[in-house]
Amino acid sequence: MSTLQPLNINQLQPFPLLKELSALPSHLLNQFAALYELTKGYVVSLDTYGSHQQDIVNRINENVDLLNRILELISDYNACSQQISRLAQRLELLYRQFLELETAQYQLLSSNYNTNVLKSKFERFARGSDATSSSMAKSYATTGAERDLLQFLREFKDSRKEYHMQREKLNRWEEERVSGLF
Amino acid sequence: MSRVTKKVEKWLVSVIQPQYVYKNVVYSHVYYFLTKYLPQGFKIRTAVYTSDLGVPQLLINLNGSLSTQTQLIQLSIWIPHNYPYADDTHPHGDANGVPLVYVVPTAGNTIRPGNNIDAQGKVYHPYLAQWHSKMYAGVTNNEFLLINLMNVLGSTFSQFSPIGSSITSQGPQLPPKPQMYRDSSLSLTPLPQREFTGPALPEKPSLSPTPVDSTPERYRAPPPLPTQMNYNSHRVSSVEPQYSESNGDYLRSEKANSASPDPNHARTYSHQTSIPQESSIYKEQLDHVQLPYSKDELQRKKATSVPSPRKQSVEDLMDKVTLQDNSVHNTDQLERLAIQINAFLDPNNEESVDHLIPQINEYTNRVMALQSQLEHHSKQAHANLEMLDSHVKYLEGRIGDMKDFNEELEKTEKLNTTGSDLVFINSSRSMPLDELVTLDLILLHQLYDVCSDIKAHKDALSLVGGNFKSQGELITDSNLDSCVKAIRSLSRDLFWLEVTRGEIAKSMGLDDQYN
Repeated sequence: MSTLQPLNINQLQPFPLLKELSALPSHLLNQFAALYELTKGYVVSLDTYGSHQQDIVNRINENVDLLNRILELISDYNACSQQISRLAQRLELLYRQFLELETAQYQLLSSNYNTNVLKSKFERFARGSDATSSSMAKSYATTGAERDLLQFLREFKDSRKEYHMQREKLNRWEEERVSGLF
Repeated sequence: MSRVTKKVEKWLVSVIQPQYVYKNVVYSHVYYFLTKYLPQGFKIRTAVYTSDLGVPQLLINLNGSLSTQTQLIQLSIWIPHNYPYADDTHPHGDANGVPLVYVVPTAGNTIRPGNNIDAQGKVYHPYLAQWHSKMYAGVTNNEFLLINLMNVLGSTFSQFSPIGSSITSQGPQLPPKPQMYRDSSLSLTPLPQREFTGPALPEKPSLSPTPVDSTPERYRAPPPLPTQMNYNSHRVSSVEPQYSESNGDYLRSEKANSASPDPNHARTYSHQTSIPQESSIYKEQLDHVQLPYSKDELQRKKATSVPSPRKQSVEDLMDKVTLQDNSVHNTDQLERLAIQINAFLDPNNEESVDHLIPQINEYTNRVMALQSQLEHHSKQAHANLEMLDSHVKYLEGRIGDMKDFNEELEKTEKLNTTGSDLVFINSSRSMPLDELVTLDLILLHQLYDVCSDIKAHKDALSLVGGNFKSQGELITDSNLDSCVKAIRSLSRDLFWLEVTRGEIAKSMGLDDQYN
């Protein structure tokens, strides 16, 4: 957009005077030249002046359009900033939710797969094997006559082997000399 | 080379992100430039650049002093939005790919236009031309960098300084220019008339040493006297297109010409305009101007330098009378009229429409700058919104996954508390607890297996003999043979197991512990 320049007399082209003016008698022309208001009227009636005035009006209209565009931009910007603010609040909420879930997850993982938990579970499992073989022996003592001794001893021996293996693993686990999942 | 601060880096990214096409390239080039030239005092900012087409754009501007062998030259470099690749479809005159370099004169200095620089300080250089032709999208060319541009400018300006002192030397006196050339705002069309038939031009008024008003002095002064300028004949010969369209003005002028005034005026005029007739520029312009006379006529007029009224035209007695009257007394009248008109047109006059022009121009500039800045901020805000929105969506997805995972863990926890011999990995998968722990080595596993077996055999033997915990012995009269057979079998197995254990321990170097 170019800069508006003031109109000068060369651009205005007020001369030659209109035929109606130049044909005036000299004394009337003198009066015309002496009266500012008449001169003003003459200048305003010129096409070049009108065109210049129209340029200024057009420029003002362009500025008005730009201002309207700025108003649109501002309202758009406001809407945008409100959305951003809403999303920021949502982010804050999500962060809090994340912290809660993270804590819960840590607790759940711990209760499921914590080493101490698993070790105590394994210990219970070994004690269960020991109890199983003991109950097998007791059971044979009460009803032994009806069963084959060799078969019972094989089952008992296998059960004891399982227990001893578990016990050994547990001992080594205590000493942290095992591998596997952990 | 020095490091660019994080703050500048972030600012640069925020400026480049919304508007620049080749963001990575712009960032790397400008960053590289800054590492070298920030310590030398170069500054970076964004500013509104108005192209030759009048289009305002918010561009990155690098400004600072380039040190040559002889002096410091203030430079202003603009980085176009499609930097560094010029686009052929871009309108000519607009900022297009290649950086725009301007030399900025410091106080007391002026631009010295030359081969590489125009009067506005804009720099033209074969390097920039090559940049325009050789750099196009997709091509990687390390020859065209801002750093290299600075080197090229440095060597060029060392040979020819674009800056000179504003004090000019007293050279030979140039011939006076015609009035027409002094005023660039005037159209070219009146030139021929001034050469041949126009009146004598008025003396250009001397400029005020400290002009307060932006209007040139000669526009504020009263117009030349009719006897000197003779507007009637001036307008007759004037063949501006606008003039022929303006409600019969042209006809009126023709009539005025037919009643051409005193030939003395023309003689005076031709005498005073003898210099423009020699001007080659003036001759060039003649070829492009539509004249109401034929070329032969013009030649004749030029040869005689005396304009002759058009005898063929119809004589308008009314005009003739008027002009004859005017010729007697219109000097003073028109001078007074011109003074009145100038008084009305004076921008300081509140009645003049031009009174508002400075304000309008100022508001226009402000509004345009504001609009440009707001457009930029709005684009940035929208880009931020999109980015934030995508982040929020992504995080919502992650949070949803976490919720699902936690639910699964809760189910798994219930299963793990109920199942004693299994470890549940999730609600549908599990593994035996016994397999949770394995021994370090396969050989070690075999060793422990054998040891466990040995202990199991010993337990079985103890059970038979009544030494297992508090159990009674199993040997009775009825199963004596079976017991003997079982003990024999267990003892034999035990022997072999102990042998096996010894061998494994031996191979592992554990003799002392297991033998």
